[in-house]
Amino acid sequence: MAIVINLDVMLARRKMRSNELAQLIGITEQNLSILKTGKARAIRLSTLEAICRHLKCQPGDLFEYVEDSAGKNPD
Amino acid sequence: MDATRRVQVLSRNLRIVFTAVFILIPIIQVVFWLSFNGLPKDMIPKDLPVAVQQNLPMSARLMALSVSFITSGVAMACIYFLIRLFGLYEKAEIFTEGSVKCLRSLGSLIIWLFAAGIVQQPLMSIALTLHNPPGQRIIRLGLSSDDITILLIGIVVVLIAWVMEEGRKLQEEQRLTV
Repeated sequence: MAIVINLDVMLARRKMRSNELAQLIGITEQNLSILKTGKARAIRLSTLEAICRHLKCQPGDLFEYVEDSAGKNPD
Repeated sequence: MDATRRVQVLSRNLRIVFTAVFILIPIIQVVFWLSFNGLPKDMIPKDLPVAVQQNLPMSARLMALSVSFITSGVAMACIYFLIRLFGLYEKAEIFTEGSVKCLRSLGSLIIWLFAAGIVQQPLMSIALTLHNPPGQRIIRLGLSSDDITILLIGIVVVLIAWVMEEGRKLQEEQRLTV
């Protein structure tokens, strides 16, 4: 997918674990994993708002557009 | 009871019913034709392609039994896919690839059932009259409203399969929406 999600990078910067963030924003770890691994087809604005609030970041910090599909979300 | 639970409960019951039907069809066919001559008159179907007396030789009955499996076989295949479909619905797998494939196969088989019915009629008339003296053997070919109904049902089921495929895509979209 052309949109790369840098959620792992933000989690590392805020020294937070995936399961902690999932619990804080009210989604399952499985759903968060779908987002982290780039399999998500869409994200609700309410989820995006919750992620930004808890990671204290901007939406632009989380998403990156790459021209070719080789740019995958690093683990 | 929520909607999904209702689907699961009804699907379980239907799966059991159709499993029984699947087993009974060949048994009833065999018993019917082998004991044809001894059956009460009102048990003889009125939609046999030719009117027959109940003194058919064993060869005619065996031929009729074989021919009857043309439509029965396709009908059993339809019921097999219905059993599979209800099995999936029982597990709440409604808008999944498996259930859509079952529905598509079912629709195609119902259309084949229409074709099988067209083919069976002349063969059945031959099977039931071949033992008659020359001049009294009949080949009957026809198309009835029942045949057209089966064809239309098959087409409708295929259309429903296409709609369910769109539903599957929507559900997958929703599943991958965080």
